[in-house]
Amino acid sequence: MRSVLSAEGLGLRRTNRWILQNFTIGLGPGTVLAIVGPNGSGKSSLLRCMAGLWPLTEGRIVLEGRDLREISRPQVACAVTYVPQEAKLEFEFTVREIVSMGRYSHRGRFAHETSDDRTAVQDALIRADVAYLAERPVTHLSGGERQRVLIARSLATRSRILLLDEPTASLDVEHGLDILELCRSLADEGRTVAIATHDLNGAYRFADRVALLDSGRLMGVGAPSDILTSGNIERAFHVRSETGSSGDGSPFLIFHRLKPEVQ
Amino acid sequence: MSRFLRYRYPNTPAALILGGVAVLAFGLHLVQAHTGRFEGTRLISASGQAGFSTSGEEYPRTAIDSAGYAVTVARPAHRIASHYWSVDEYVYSVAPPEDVVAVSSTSYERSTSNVYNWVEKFHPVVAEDPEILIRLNPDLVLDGGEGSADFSDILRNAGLPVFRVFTKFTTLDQVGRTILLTGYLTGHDADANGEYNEFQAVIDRAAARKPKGTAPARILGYGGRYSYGDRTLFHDIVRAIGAVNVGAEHGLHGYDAISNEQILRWDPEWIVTGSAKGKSAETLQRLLDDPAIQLTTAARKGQILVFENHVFLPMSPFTVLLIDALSESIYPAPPRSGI
Amino acid sequence: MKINLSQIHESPISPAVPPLPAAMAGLRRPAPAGRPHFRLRRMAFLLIVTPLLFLAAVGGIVAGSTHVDWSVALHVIGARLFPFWIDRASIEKADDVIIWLIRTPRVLVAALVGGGLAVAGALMQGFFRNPLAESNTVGVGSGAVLGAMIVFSTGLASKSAIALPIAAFLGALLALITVYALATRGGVTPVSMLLLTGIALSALLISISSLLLTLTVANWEVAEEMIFWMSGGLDKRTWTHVWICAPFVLFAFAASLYYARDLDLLMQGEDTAASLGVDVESTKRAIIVISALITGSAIAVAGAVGFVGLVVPHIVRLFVGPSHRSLLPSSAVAGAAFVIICDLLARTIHPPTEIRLGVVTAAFGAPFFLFILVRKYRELNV
Repeated sequence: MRSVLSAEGLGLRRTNRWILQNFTIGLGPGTVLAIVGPNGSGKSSLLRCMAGLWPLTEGRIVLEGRDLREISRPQVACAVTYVPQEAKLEFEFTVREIVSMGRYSHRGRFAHETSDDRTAVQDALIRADVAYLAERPVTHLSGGERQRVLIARSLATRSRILLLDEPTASLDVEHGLDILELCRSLADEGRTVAIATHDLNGAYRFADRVALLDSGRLMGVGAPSDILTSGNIERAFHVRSETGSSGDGSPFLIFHRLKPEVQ
Repeated sequence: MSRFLRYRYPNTPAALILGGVAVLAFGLHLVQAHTGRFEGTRLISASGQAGFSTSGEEYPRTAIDSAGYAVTVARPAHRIASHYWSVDEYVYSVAPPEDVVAVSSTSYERSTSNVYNWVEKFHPVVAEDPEILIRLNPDLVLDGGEGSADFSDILRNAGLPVFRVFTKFTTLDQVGRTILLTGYLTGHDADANGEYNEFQAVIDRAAARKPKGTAPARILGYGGRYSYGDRTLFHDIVRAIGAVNVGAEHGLHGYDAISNEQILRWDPEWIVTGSAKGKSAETLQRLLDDPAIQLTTAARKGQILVFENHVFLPMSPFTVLLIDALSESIYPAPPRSGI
Repeated sequence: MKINLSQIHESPISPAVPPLPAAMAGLRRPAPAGRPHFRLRRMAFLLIVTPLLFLAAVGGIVAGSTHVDWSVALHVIGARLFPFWIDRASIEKADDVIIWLIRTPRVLVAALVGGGLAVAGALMQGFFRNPLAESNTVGVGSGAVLGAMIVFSTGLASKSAIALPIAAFLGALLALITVYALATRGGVTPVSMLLLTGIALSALLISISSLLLTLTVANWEVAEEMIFWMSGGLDKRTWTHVWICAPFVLFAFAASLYYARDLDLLMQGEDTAASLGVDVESTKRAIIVISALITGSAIAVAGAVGFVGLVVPHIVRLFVGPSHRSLLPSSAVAGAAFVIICDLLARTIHPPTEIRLGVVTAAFGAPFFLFILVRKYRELNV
């Protein structure tokens, strides 16, 4: 599988701690990669590094065969979009204004909005289901609505690679499902999507590949059924898991506390 | 710091900003020639000369003021504006009062002004607002040398002749010369000479009051938390009447802070201070109540002198009031026997 | 199962995928009739405030401590601006001098200072994402004050009228360099570090200024001037002061428009901004420098005028929204009008005494701001 964005020998050290060590992973076109791991395992940091937002201590990131450091920031922005877990939406921009910011890297500083820009924004608003909120100030939205606005913004960039950091964290069930289905459809169009998530069930159902992280190291990457085994889950998350099958054959996971070890 | 300086070049936005500002500033500098004098090139002027220099008695007369600026006076002045309180006193000593069209606000304060009678009679304008001064169309504007330069700057831009008089007097000699300077600038040389001679006469008379052979009196000038060291006019006055300045004796320079402990330790024979009009008795009592001052020789011998501010503060021809009052109090004339 | 990194071929960044089909899922929920679009309000705001600025400027030139007929004032200005067409012979010299050399520069300085400080305040509020930020948050104003205090207490201010503005401006720049150098590590300037360093340095510089003031108190005339200067004032401004601050204020304003969109993005978070294509560190540096240039030159010519940079952007934001492309120009116009009006009040409330400008901006601006806040209370998200 060809990689459009890959990390090679990635090492990240911040505040005297190794956050990621000796990390090598590639993202292929038309796939959804789910990055899972316990809290503090380095999921967000990995995505940030792959988006080129944080300088690496070791290794390099390769985008379409070129080292990320050699590419200018606007060009990187056109190709890769990172959506953070939380955003600072304290000022009263309207939703449409926020989503329009996604078009920033596509036009010059003083250039006016083109019809292309407007179409991209409108499509993004519809797809993330925030079109009905378009003229409302973001400060008036709930957490979940804000999350969808951020996703809409990333869609407006029309970049080929989307890195989403816990996109379903504050979403209700319907919208959580929406986002995962959206990721799926984006991948089916040929884009590359990577999401860091706590939702193992979602990962199981919608991801092509799952990468399991623990303490900054890649424990394994592959098909969900290969990675999300009960053994791996127990080692990484310290919970016991059971796999079940729903009526239409979709797999699901159930988790139980580990029984205390018998001395 | 070096890390900050090590920019990643080319740093386009910063370079653009700085370059653009430089170009704009230079461009505007060229344009400004049409709007008024730009004093910017004279950043540091000849400074500190205590006094003035003149170039003769024919008109036009030139003098160099305390900021080093050469002022030319074309004819005797009949509309004189003064912006500084002590300069007011010089002007009224030398020129006829009806010629004074503007004075500082201090001259209108009854309790401290020595020229109150004249301002009350002739009502000169208070010289604060440049617009009002321009409307008055004075022949000569005299400003003090220690205030901000904005006042003289804006009036000069408007075309008025402004002379900044040196006012940080430290010797009586400077005061005398400034009397002559005022006469020179306003065209009243004769009156100024007369005033100068009277000024000298008072000084000589005061010096003569000290009986020969007696030890000089030890005087401390008291200004609240401050006292007068050497390089002050008070110091020179004390020297002129034949006494000793206790502050200078103990190494005080200029008008500097002292503590009551120091007063006690120095133990002056005389303490001299000023008070608001009508408050001399109060001020004296307050001093006597002070535990440190009570123990000084001055307090014990009843030798604390409280003069009203209009006597104590002037640094102008009216300084003669203090010279006289001080020397008479310290070296009183012996009672005449007989007649 | 590990992945094989297959051959990585050299290829340029591929163009974006074709756009989504427009009617992909339809509008899941219908868009209701929204509030009036901000765009109209922005236009309306500028249309109201710009004439107000001109009226205020004319008022500032016509009104003063001595009476000048408004037709005479316009005649003077016309004759100066268009010397070939309008004849100057019939104008009295005193009127000419007063209008052109005293009032016009004063109004121009008021406009530059007001507009500049408002823009600098807006920039700082966006940069720190904090409504309490203003032009002095990085300590630049305190540096300017210290520079001025040094020049006052050493007597340089009485020697030359230009020493004071230059010293204040240099003080501002030195404070900026110090704060920036202290807060930057490895080319990265965290915003929180800049804020704290700015606060600490500001406190230090102000304390040194106070020390200088107490040491100079013996010379009460100079001390009086220091105190008056610290409350801000536009008395005795000449064209020299206009030329001192105009280049910096105008150029910095133009540069701020260049960075307006970047600042909008920066306000969303540094990671977001970088991800959307903004060169974060360079933008931050530029914004700080722009704000420092404006603040330094404004304080240099007008003393420490407070309140303008804090409140004017807030008032403008209530009408025009937070996007800097409209906020910055509107703040500039509104700030200029505000300070011209305050200066007019300062000179005409109790002639011939002039109230200090800083006092008027606070006393007049605060109630006005409260009034607007209360009116808009319902619409605010509180």
